[in-house]
Order: sequence, then C-alpha cells, then structure tokens
Amino acid sequence: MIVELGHFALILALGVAIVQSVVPMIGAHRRNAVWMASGNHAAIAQFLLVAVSFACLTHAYVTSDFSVVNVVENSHSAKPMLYKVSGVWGNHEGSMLLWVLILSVFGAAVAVFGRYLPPALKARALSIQALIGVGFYLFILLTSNPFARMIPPAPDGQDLNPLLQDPGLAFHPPFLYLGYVGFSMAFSFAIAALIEGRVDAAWARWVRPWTLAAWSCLTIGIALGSWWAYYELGWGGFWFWDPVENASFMPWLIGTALLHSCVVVEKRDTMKAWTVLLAIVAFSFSLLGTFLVRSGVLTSVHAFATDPTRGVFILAILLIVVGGSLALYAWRAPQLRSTGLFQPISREGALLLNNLLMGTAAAVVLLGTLYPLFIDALTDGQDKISVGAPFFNAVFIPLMTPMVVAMAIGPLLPWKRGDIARALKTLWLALFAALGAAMVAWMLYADRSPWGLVGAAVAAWLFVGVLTELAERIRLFRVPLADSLRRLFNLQRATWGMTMAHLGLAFAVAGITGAGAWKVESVQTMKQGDTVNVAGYEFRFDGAEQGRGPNYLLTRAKFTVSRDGDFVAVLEPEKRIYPVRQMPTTEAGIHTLLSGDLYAVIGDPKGDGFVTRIYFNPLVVWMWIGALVMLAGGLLSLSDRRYRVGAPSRSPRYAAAQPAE
Amino acid sequence: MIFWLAAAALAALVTAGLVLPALRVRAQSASRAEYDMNVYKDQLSELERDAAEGRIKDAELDAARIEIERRLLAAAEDAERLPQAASSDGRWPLYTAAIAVPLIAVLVYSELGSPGVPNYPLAERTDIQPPEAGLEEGAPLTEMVRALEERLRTNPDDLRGWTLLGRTYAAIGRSREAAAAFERAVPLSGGDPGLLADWAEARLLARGSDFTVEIFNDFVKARERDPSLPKPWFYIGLDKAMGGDFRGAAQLWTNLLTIATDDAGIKESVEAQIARAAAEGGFDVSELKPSETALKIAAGRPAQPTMDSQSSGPVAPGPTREQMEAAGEMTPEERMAFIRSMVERLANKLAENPDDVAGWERLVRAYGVLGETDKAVAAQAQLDALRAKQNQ
Repeated sequence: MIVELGHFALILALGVAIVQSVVPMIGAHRRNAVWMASGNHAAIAQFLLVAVSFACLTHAYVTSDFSVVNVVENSHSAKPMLYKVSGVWGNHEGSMLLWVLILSVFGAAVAVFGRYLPPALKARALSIQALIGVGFYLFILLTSNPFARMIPPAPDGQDLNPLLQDPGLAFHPPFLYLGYVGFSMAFSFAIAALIEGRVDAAWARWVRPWTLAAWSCLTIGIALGSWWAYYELGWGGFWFWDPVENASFMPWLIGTALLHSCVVVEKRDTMKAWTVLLAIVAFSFSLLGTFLVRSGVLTSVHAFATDPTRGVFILAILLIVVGGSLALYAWRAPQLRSTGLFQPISREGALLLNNLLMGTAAAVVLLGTLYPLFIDALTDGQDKISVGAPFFNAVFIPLMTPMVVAMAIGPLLPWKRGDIARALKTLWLALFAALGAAMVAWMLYADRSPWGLVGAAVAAWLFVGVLTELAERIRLFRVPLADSLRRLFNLQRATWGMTMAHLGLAFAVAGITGAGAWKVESVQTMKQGDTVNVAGYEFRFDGAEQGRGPNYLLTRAKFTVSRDGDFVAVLEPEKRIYPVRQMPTTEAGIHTLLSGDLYAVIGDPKGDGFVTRIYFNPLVVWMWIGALVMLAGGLLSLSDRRYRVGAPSRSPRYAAAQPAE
Repeated sequence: MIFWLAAAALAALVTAGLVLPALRVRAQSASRAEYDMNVYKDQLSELERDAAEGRIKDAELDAARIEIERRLLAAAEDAERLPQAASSDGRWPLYTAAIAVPLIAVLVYSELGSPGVPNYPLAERTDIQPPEAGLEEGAPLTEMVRALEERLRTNPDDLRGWTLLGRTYAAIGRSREAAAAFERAVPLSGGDPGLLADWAEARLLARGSDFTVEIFNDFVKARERDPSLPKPWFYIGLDKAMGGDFRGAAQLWTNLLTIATDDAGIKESVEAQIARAAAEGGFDVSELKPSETALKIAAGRPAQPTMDSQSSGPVAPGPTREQMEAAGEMTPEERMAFIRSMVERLANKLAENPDDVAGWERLVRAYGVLGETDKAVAAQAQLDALRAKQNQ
C-alpha cells in the first residue's frame, strides 16, 4: 500500500507541476496577483508530494519489499542498511526520483524564502522551475518508473552494483544532484529575467547565493566521486577524464564562471546578459551530464541505464531546454541594460578573464567528451576512437596555468580600473615562492615531466599570492600589528570565502601536480615475505587470507611498510567478489601521509604468490584538503547574507580626468 | 481501503494547497522599481552596519554609499515612470485545477499503478524461507553449491570437489566463480590440460570474451598437453578470428571438426563459425582441409602441434574430455568395455546416417585400435565407396 501511495503522490506532483508551470506564468503576464501567488503554494505542495513519494520508495528498500521491481533489481536482503538506503538513488529510476525531489526542494525554498522578490519575477521563475519538473516527472512515470510492481514478489533481490556499495559513493550522487539541480535555480531566474527583459537588483541578490550553494555541493560531489575512484578502482589515480566525470566537471567549470560573474552583477550592476547566458549554459551542462550518464550513450562504470527510449526522452528535454532558452536569449538579451562600465584592467576585467578561461576549458572538455561519440555515430560504429588523458592534459593544463596565475593578481585589482604594474609589484614574494618551489621540484624530480615544475611553481604562486592579498587587506606591517589583527577579524565572511576557496585551489593544484607528475608505480608478483622498495619505502608482503563479508567474499592481503627500518604503516588491500552480481571490486590499502599516499592493491594470484601493484602518490592528500577548503570557502561566503556593492576606488586624479559614467 | 483514504488525504492536501491561498491573496500594488529600491535601502543599512562594526572605512565607505545612492535614484525614477498595478480577479483557474489535478491523477494512477497491491516487506512474508546471511538464491542447485563450498572450506585439497564446483558454476553461467574454482582445481590436478582449458575458458567468459596473454597461453599449453581437447582448438581459433585472421581461424576449426567427436553437439556450432569466418574472410569453405597434424591426432597417434598452425595445424576427434576422464578412472576391463560401447554407438549412428565421411574415418581408426581388423576392413570399404560416390 505504501508503495502505491508513493506512486500516486508522484502522479499528483506531476499534476501540480503542470498547474504551477502555467498559471503563475500567465498570471505574471496579466498582472494577476492571485495567479502569481498560486506558484508559491503549488511549489510547496509539489515538494511535500515528492517527499512522500521518495519516503515511500525508501520504505520499500528498507523493508526489502521485493514486489517492487526497482528494489529487486538493486537491493538484496543481506545488504547492510546503509546501502539499502543509498540503493534508493544508486540506480537509474531512484536517482531520477532524487533529481525531482531536489528540484522541488529548491522550488519550495524559493516560495518560502523569496518574500522580497518582486512577485512577477518569482512567479515566472517558479513556473520555469515547474516546467523542468514536468519534463522529469513525465520521464520518470513513462520510461523509468521506480514504483513498478511484480506479483508474485521475487524471493530476493539482485543486489546493488558492488562498485556503488561504498560510503564514498553512497553520498556522491546526492551532492552531485544538489549541484546539478541547484543550477536550475539560476537557470529559472535567468529565463524569468529574459522573459521580463530586465535584471532586477533583487535578481542579482538571489542568483549568487543559489549558485554558490549549487557550486559548493557540486564541488563536494565531484571530490567524493574522485576520492571514491581513487581508493575503489585501484588504479592509483583519482581522475580519469572518463566521460561521466567530465559530465560533472563541465557544469562545475561553468558554475565557477557563473559564480564570479554573479559577483560582478551584484556589486557592479554590469555583465548582466553574460551572467544570464552563463546561467543557461551551466544548467544546460547539468542536463547534458544527466543525459550522458542516463542515456547509456557512454560505456563506463556509471552507465547503468541502457534503454534507448530513455536516452531519446532526455535528449528531447535537453533540446527543448537548451534550444528554447538560447533562442529566448538571442531574442531578449539585448534588452538587459547594464550600468557599470569598466576598463579591461580592473577587478571586473579579471573576473571576465576567469569567465573566458573557464568557458574555454568547459568547451574543450565538451569537445573531448563528445568527439568520440560523433565519430562513432558518423561512421556507424566503424571507427571508435577514445579521447583520453593525454588530450585533456595537453589542452587543459595550458588553459589553467594562466588562469591560476591571473587568480593571484585579480583580487589585487580595484573595481572599474586598475593598475596591473602595481598589483604585480605587490606580488614579489609570490614570484620568489614560485621560483623556489620550481627549484625544489627540479632537484627532487628533475627526470620527470616538466609540467611538474610548472604545477609546483603555480601552486606556490597562488598560495603566496592569496596570502599577500589578505595581508594587503589587513595592511599587515603597514599599520600596528594589533590594528592588522582587528582588521583580520573584521573581514567580511564573503572575503574569507574567496580567500579560502582560492587557497583551496592552491592546495588542490599541489596535490594534482604531485599525484599526476611524480607518481611512483611498481607492479610485480610477490610471494609471502617478499619486499619491494617504492619511493624509499619498503613494502613487505605478509600474505593474503580468504574471508567473507556480509554480502561478498574477500581476499585480504597484508603489507607492512617501513622506511629505513622504521615501521610506518600496515596496509590491508582487499579484493572482493560479490556473488549475486558476479562482480569483483578492489579496495586499495592506503596510508595517508602529508608527503604522499602509500597505496597498495592486491591482484590475482600468480603461481604461489600474488600480483601486487604498489604506488606512492606524492601530495595527493592535498587535493582532498583543497576540495574541503574550497567547500569551506563556499559555505563561509554563503553564510554572509549581506548584499554589498563594489565601488571603484576614487582617485581625485582620475575623477578629474574622466567623469563617472 | 486504507490506501484510498491515504490517497484521498494527499489529494485533499493538493486541493487545499491550491484553493485556500487563492482565497487569502490580495492584490499588491508595489511596482518593480520599489522592490529594487527596497534592496538598495537594505544595502544602505547594511553598509551603515558594516561601518559601525569597522568593516569598512572612510574612502571605501563614501564610495560605496555614493554608488548605492546613485542606483537608488535611478530606481526611483523608474518607479515614477513605470507605475504598475496588479489585479486579483478570476480565481477560476485555481478552482478548476484543484478539482482537475486529483481527478486526472486518479485516472493516470489507475493506468500506471497497481491499485490494491499490498506491501511485501521481507520480514512479513510467508512464501519464502527467511534467508540466512545468504549469498545465493534458494534454488536446489545453489543449495548444493553451498554445501559443496562448505565441504571445500574444510577440505580444500579436494580436486573432485573443486572440479565439480567449477563445472556447476560454469553451467549456470557464473564464470567468475567457475574460474575461481578451476583455479584451485588446476594445481591440485597437476596441471590437467582439460581443467586448464576449463579454467581459461571461465576466465575468458568472465572477461566478456576479451583475451589476455595469460588466457591465450593457457589454451596453448592445454593443447600442447592434450591435442585432442576441443576447447583449446576452438578458443585459439576464436582469438585468431577476433584478430582478423579468419582463414587461420577457420583452419583451426576445420581441424577441430576432424579431431572432435560429435556427441557434444559442437559440430553445428563450429561449422556455423567456420561459415561465418569464411564469409568475413571472403574464401570458400571447401578450400579448407584438415591439417596433417589434425589427421594424425584424429588417427589417435600422438602429435606435437605448433602454435603457428596454418600449415601444420593440429588435432582430431576423440572422446570428449569427460569421457576420457571417466575412462581414466576405470579398470582396464571397464575401459575396454567403455570404448567398445562408444564404437558401437558410432557404428549405429553411421548405420542411420551412412553419408558421414568423417564418421566412417573414425570408425575405421577405432576398429584398428581395438584390433578388430575384419570390421576395420569392412568400414574402410564403406568409406571408399562413399568417397567414390561423393567424388562423382
């Protein structure tokens, strides 16, 4: 009964969404207050209905109700409770339900917190939000219904994909979706602004926090996914430029650009049309990500949906959303007025440069992701090419290097017009740090990739550059120390947010450089008692034992790691076999040091020993630390609810020479 | 019944959500620019707060204040220029929706849903045994497998047990488990070529027919040890075909047909494979002749096939490995009887289907091995007659 109630609630939600997508929109057009206001209540009702629906499906998973096809296909009675719950969204149908749940959460949040929004803007945004919802409700109900039943019920389930039975991945999709769907908010507001032909002050005030929230969730979602790939796939790497990873990375890149252009709209009342465009593109990339993962056009570990009707359906949604919104943009964008003018060398200019580089990077990733698909389609499957890490590294690193270099300079430039020579003079210490880091890297790893040197230099440059900017802000050493400290504590939280997010990127660049350019890898067959020396660490193989987990069989190996005879750590990598799905998984044995990770994987038995793979991944932990620091920066900035302006620094000299606009 | 009550409650929630607020809302007259002005006023007061807390100072403060006031002025101009009024007439769309949404939902639900189907939480079900921390479904076969696995845990050196487990898993398509079991069985058997081939096959299938060097080498090793095994011939050929060498593959499979006995039902599938390879490679099946080696093996004489088998191709038919193994466990008398029974079956088959040249060839050889010269000569005569007839 509960299952059926969930199904009914979802259908009701579809009905409400249809009403919400039509009535407030017409109401806004006819200036009918009642029709406009109906969007609020509809949004809240929609959220309650989807929440009921989601709770019902979760109930079916928790009680192992094997009369529900979705539960049979993705759960098993012996599965630990955590994965019964995460199984709800660990599959195609359930994850789409999570998608609309999050969509409705955002809609309801606008209805509840949007009291100060002009009613017409709010009504139109809610309408658009509901329209997206309609598409996805139909998609779920018609092609991927999680509430389909089977009578008589199955004796037991087929288990969740074992790769997904992992704490890191249990929470990876929800965060990713919070990010993806979060951009729908910016999108809905952007479309509403286009329909109205104006960008209100309230618009700018709203879009940045929502983008920030979405960006923070996407950041943590990507970091979780990458962390999972690092310890679960056992390849010793953390980012594979897999199309599905790219699908989540593209919205992040555009989202980052959007975040920065939102700052300009909020503070300087300019770059409005551009920001609207970025909002459309960011959400389009989110939809594209959903399409790529859900349609099964890609073959990768994530592609568990292979039904073509689903792909075609999402493709249709994608075309309507992207095509429709871009057409609307072409028609209406010229009407969006901007008031703030600025010169190329200025804070606005630096943020625009960020936007351009981020946008180019996203375009490059898009090309690399879709090109193999086009080739495959055009040649009717005759030619299959794969675009891998070499391509992405070759184009991505040269794009990101100038961006990170500019990142240290941008915050030092004042709004409206700036002096780059002065900013660069302030950064002398960062330049020294960059040269020093490159020297150290050269001494340690002269024989490795030259990009390692660039990475080290850039990370040090950014790290010191960000701290320099902070020191400038508090006028360190130029006013008494106590005065500086007082300034430090009085800094706006949004400023702290920026500083931390930028520091986080410096850490992440260091981690990516270390693990990417200086990784040490050793593959060999080891018998019990054998030792192998990797990057100065002695790994002794102490044998392997067979065992049994709650729903898997395992082989667990033991490595004792020492350095110069001193004990460092014990690593216990596992190889698991999930009999129900007949899939093996790897659990790498990892010991994290600040200087790098000791990483061991146990492979197949060979002779009377085992194939083992041992890695030393220098600095890799800094990448996760960097992601967490970035997230902290995002949240800190989000907690600063004040709405501020960025005024140009007023210099009498300029004021005389050049009247304000 | 409870379901429909709960569903009605949900529907009522929707109706109320759409109707009640509609009754309360009054028309607002604030214009768009006034909302902008409110934002700027907020901004100004936040600026004052920042200033009071010492977050912003002097020149910056002045600049920001001027900037906000400039925007405020612009908004005020807009407010005067564009007065907006909102009406609040016509609530009919909401009333209509409030009735229509639940009704349509019920219709759609009765189409898509399964009204009246109860929950089946596992804990309350009586139609199945409560599963233990089970890894397998409760079918008898898996019961047997479970018992076998249990036995092997206490007695891990049981060759027959591992072999049986591997075959069972292979039979039900669980290639990974099959591979794991054969992996234990192969060393216990001292590298028995049949088990080696089974192991390699299971690994190959578990990989979705993606060859590795190890798998390929194991097939080669198995064929070296026992050239009469069909599996290595088949899979080495498959590897060739997958590598684009269709003629080489077809040659190997032709040899296989010569070598293998027909009772495993592999003949049709191998012939189909050959036909397909011929189509892909663009040659005629009739060009293919079993190699010398294959004929030698088929004739029951030992032969050393080489890897590069285009020219010196391998093996020929004999009893299947299962039969050989079974034969290996018999006393000499039993074995002789076993072989005779097989030969008899072959003879009977040929009586029904006298046009099978390969069958007659095998029969001639078999009688030769058994020392029954008379019958061998008679069979040879049949064979000669058949060949003469076919050559006409």
